[in-house]
Amino acid sequence: MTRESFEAGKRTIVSRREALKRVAALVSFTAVAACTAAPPPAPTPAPAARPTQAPAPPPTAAAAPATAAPAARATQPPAAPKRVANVTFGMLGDVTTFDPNIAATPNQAFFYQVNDVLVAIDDQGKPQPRLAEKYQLSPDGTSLTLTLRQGLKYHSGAPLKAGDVAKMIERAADAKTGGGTRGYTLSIKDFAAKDDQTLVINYQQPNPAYLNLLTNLYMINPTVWEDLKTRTDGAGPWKLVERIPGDRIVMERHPSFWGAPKPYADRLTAKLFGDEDAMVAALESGSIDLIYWFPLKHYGRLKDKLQFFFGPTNTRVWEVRLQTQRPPFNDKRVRQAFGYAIDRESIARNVLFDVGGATTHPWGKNHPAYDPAYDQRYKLDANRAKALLAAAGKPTGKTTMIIEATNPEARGIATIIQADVKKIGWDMDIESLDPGRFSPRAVAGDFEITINPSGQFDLYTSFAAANSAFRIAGNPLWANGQPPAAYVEGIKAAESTIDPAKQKAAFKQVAETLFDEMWSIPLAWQVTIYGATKKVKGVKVMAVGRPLFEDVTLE
Amino acid sequence: MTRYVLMRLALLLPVLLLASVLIFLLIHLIPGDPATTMLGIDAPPEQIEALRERLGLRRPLPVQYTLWLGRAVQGDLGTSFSSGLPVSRLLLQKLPPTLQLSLGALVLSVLIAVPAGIVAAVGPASTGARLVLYGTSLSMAIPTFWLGILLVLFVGLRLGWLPTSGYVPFLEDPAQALRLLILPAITLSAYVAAVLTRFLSTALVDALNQDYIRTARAKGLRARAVVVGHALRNALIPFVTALGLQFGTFMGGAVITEAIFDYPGIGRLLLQAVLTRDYVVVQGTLLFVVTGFVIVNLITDLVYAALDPRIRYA
Repeated sequence: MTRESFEAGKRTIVSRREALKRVAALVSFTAVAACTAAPPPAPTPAPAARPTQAPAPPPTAAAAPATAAPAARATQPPAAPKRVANVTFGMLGDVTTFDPNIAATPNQAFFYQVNDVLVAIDDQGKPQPRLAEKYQLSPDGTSLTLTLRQGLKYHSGAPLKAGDVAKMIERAADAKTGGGTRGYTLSIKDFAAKDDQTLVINYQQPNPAYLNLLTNLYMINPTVWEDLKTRTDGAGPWKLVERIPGDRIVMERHPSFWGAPKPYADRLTAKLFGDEDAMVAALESGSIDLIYWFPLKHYGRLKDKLQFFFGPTNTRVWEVRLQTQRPPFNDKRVRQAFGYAIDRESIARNVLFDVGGATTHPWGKNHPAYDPAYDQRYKLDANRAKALLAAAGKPTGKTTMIIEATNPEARGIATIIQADVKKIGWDMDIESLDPGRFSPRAVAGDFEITINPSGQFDLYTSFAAANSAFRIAGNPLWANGQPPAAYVEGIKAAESTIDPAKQKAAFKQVAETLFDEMWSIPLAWQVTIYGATKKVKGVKVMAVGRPLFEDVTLE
Repeated sequence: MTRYVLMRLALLLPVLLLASVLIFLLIHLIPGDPATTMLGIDAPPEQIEALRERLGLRRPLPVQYTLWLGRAVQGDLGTSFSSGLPVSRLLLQKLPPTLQLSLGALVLSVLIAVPAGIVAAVGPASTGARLVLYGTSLSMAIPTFWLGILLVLFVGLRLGWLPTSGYVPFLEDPAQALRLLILPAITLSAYVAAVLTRFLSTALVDALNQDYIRTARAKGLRARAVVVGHALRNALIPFVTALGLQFGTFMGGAVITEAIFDYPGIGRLLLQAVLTRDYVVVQGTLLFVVTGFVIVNLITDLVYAALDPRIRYA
């Protein structure tokens, strides 16, 4: 060290205490400045109404009249909304395939925009014709005549004809390519295109759930089927133009869309996020305009700052799944005891922010399975739970619940259930698993108890095909994959009649068996929420929580 | 020198081979199944089995490894289970953001470490040196994820000074690219800058105690010339070595930083691939990172050996 620097150092020496004081003052000042920097929130209008209206009626129309194109509903077309250049929505995960038959649920946001379906069910449960202009079920329910709109075109410009629909049905019916859509084709006897616009589907028996296929069959140009991992050609309002895995998917408006002048945005960008907190931060900062499937844990904090659009209440339900093939839940009294012990209201209030509400059964008010008396079944009753456990000879016990680690609601719900069963003398461990470990165990039924949101309860008997816990065959919760015979018979009976009275009776059998055997304990509705900045208008949330962005614009 | 170079090159192959075995085994030993993770827990069993067959997961592990390695040496790292895209194409897509973030973090680290290291070395008892000491201790103690979240919360959301997520290539829009880079670069560089600061200050103190420095002072050179012109230049040799290794660490995937700031780099690709058990992407990405790290290490050693003959003959 030089003399010069030594002398300089001597002049500037401060004591350690003084240095610490100065650093602490600097840090405190910075913290206070940051905390008080935010202006007080401006008064905001009331948030979007939660779906307290009557849930969607299931598509069980007997001999439904032919439905006309939407133009007949409006006598005076409203002024067209403002056109905008780009709308960006955030979503978690990635679109892992362009094949809707095997895609996971979160990918539905993409397919609805790019591929389109024949008929869509809106959030009021009303069928809305899309690619199909009209459809007519025969009086005996065994034949459906479908008429496509005139002049339909894929994004490539190729015409969409009835023959293509027939090919899509064939693809869905094939075990190798049908995936989750195959279940909707099992009742079909045969089908054929009569001309370019008309398709006739004949069923093996009266089919009350005919709309299930029409609402889940996304149209894809058959010429691209061989390469659905990397490309697609649909007929929806948006055309795929760019895809960067893990980052974004860019879509442009389909110039030949049947619903012109929609869409009102020239470009729709799906910004892909791996972390939901980063996604919400991006919405708060305005980097994106809305979020598909807004994480509920941020709802309470942001409900006054952003606007929210809610899906229907009757579609998805959080439910507990109990493995009947192994102790302790091989005894239905223990299963029923858990049904009485769980405080559903607490779950709905503390974890789900009262969005949707608690429920003891999985059907909305307009579903044939619904009975107002069900709302009173399995109300919280710890004493009854204890009595059932005592009768089963298990006044105390222990179990382990597996949950998916990346789902924050699952953690919250599991914690409440853990506390609830403690009150009736049982211990419950919670094993949190990453998706790679949770999925195989859940599929194989390798657990004692788990929780899961299950869906499609608004689509007649779709829930039985869409959720493994409700399957009538290959059910991982029952020996040999077979749930109780009464349940299976009830589902089959419901699927084979268009008589409302017989449907009601069949579903009553299904519900009563479910309540008695209690291998699934419904807890609360899971409502799909879309969060958006205040300038976003025109978001439609259809049945099953699927989004339609063709009306979206920005103020 | 030639013999040294050949020897180091010959060691490269067995190192990479061993790495490939470990990478392959590691991901396959983790419990989980790509098919069920991709399709969801309610997928029909026949669909899951069909997907397992299509992904080649039914083959014995040695066969899978041999097939994968055989293609990898030809430059084919396989096709992602999730996206269906070639892994090499995914890596090429993710490399620019990672490079941009790594370079940004590196530049920031150097801009902080060099002056801070000098201040700490030149006046160890000074206020500046104490601040550097406390600052580096704090930086090394703060978890990366915590710093990142704080920056998002205060700087991004409360103050609204900078965006909280996103990526724009620098050549496309330099101003926006820098705005998007600042917060993640600070997060990523905080720890490294602290480490480099201490590294440099130690090396500089050593250099300042050498005889040639005494000679330089005796000749009447100004302090600045002695420190910057002589001592620093010698202290920078090991500093640059450490810098090279840190760059390799950045390239390996700033997983946490990329997740917090939604930066579409290799780290995020790797994290997503592990969670979804996309074996091919994990294998390809890790092999790519390891190969890059080994090559950077090799170059550093060769440069070091060229500069310091003692190394070659050790």
